[in-house]
Amino acid sequence: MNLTKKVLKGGKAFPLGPASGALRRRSVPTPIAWALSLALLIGLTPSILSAQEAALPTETVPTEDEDIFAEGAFEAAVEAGSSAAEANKLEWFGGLSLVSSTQMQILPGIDTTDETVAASLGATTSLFGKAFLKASAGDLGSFFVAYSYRQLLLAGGTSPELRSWYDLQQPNLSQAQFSLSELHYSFDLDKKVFIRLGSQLLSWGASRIWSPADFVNQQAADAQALVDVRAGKPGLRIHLPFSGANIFAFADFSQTVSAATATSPAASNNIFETVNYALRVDATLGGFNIGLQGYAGYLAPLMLGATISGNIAGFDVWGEFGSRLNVNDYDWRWAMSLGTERAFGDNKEWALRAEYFYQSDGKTDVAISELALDEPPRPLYWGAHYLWLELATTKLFVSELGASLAGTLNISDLSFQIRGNLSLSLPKLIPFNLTLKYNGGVEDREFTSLGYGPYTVHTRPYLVAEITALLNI
Amino acid sequence: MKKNSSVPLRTSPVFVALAVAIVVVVAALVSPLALSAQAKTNEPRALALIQDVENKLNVEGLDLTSVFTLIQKKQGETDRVLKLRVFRRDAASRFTILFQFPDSEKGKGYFRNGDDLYLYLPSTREFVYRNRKDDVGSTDVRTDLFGRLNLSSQYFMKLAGTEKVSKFDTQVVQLDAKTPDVSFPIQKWYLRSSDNLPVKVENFSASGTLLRTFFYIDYRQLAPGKYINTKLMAVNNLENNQRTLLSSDDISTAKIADYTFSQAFLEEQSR
Repeated sequence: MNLTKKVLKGGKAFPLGPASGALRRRSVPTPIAWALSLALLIGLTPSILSAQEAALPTETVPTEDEDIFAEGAFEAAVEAGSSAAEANKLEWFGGLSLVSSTQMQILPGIDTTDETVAASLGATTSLFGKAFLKASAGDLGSFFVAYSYRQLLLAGGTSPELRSWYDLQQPNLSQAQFSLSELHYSFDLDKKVFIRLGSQLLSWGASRIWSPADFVNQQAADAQALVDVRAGKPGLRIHLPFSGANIFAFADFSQTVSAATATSPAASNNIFETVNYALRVDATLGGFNIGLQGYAGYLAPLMLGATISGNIAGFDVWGEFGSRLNVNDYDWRWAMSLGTERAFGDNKEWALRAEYFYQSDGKTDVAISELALDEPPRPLYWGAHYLWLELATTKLFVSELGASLAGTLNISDLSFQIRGNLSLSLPKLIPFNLTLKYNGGVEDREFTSLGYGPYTVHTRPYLVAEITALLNI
Repeated sequence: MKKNSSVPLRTSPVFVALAVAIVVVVAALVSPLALSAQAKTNEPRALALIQDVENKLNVEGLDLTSVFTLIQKKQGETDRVLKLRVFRRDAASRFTILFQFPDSEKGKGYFRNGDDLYLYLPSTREFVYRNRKDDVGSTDVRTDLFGRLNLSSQYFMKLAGTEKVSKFDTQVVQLDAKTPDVSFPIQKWYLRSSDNLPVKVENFSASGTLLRTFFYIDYRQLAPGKYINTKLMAVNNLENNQRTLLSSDDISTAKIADYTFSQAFLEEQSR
């Protein structure tokens, strides 16, 4: 069994993924060591939490010695029993997010002495979103399931290159795509330790666009997405909350089963070698929320990270750092992001935001069309240096109209995207957004290419116009 | 299969430094100037009045649970209704706010511990660390309305005459912020002469523009000398006829479980 390959296929959101090369065993924390650590933490927790409780008056609890004939004693006892039964009553809560999106790609024409290409236009329309259902029963815990869905309604273009771009995405107008986003059962130990078992999303980052300290999630969050349709990771999460701090531990089960491929069926693996572990400790100190986190496993790379967010002189600031250590044939890599936001205007309706990202193994300047098939570029985690700037307002002339102008620059290959957005909330109409994106800069780079490698269909600047409506029910 | 072709690095430290410099300069331009022109001392009589207000409205020694209904009225639009369950422990400067209605907002919430405010966004399972100047659900009400008042440490104060508000004679106290990290740089509190409870509060920008006006319409006494505001109207003075009505119901002073003031509670109660 080629376990190395299976581990490498994990596809983490963290940009510092495992390097190629043989793996060997190393002395990382074993499941037993993690279990002991957690047991120690759990043992400490009640004493810390109960200190606050002890400072407050406690409720009067009737004892057997009390006279049941006393005024109100019988009613109080019945009331207490009724309340307990009510507390574990099954409650259902469901919801749906629906996005209607029509996107037009506009490829400008070229007319030079060497080449003449006519301008072309293509469009897609789709409905997508997420639906969830939660069943909770007080002290017994809660069950949560969420599915994301997508139904393509239209796809077509005036040029062969745009049509082949849509064909690469295997369009199907008669079949909706459904995929599990999250499915988990949550319960607690006396409201002091909170446990979640199942497929789940974690949010352990602080940054807005780039999250180099997110070691656990399978996919990086998309800050521009109207609905988060990512799939969670199967595992067990333990949360010990304090008033100004948190400790999280996560056992990652995602590598215990290798998914089926075209050439091999799904296969289960050695549980001790493939369950990986993550730990995060965060606290708010001196006006800053600071987190330290790590990820390790028998065959997994050892990764360490830190997050910070706070406010300096009226500027919201945030940052993340993530590093993969050079142990067991993995080379050392690191990445960081740093951002700030300043709100202004009488009602703080304007905001100026900026974020910078660096990763040590980012590509400096690579032609996208020359990439190998097994090396797809990860959008926004491809280059070495990035810069993102945004000016946004919740009120452009009238309160019903919001707007933003944002630019994302891959500093390493000098391609960029400029994105203008208008969001309208008119009375008795579903709120909708109009977005215009210009992808420009050096040709055949991150923001100027459609597709990659032999699947590249376009390598010059182009425009995207989009109208989206979001409905939360 | 073709291999990657690398060309010389176009990035230079100068380029990065230039980009960072642009951000800093633009941000500095939009940053409000320091509150240098404002008063730098407290008038003892004004300070005593505000401290008395704090003593009456801060309910140390009691836990407080209530349900707030917020009705936002905008000209030409259907009224927007929010319901919030608020858990408050002033002795520890903590509160937790849970959105209960509408369903599209249900599960969102705030947890405040001292000056630290966390917003929970269930759609991304994200806790966002904020300062205390956050509006609740895009209404005209800020989160600090639901917690412990801390005016005497955040502002310098002086007397600003007397006024009649509706049928009440009031003493006016003007508050000027000590630091920029407050909800509003300038405030005027109109305190009822009969019992020194506020009936009206005006909030101003640093330039003196009237931004919002709060009318404290009714109170309920929780304990001797301790009150909670039960009816309030917030007027957005920058928007024509935009106001938010707040009413507080289901008020309880029963002890609140400790874990209610933690991120785990918000996550548990959410989706």
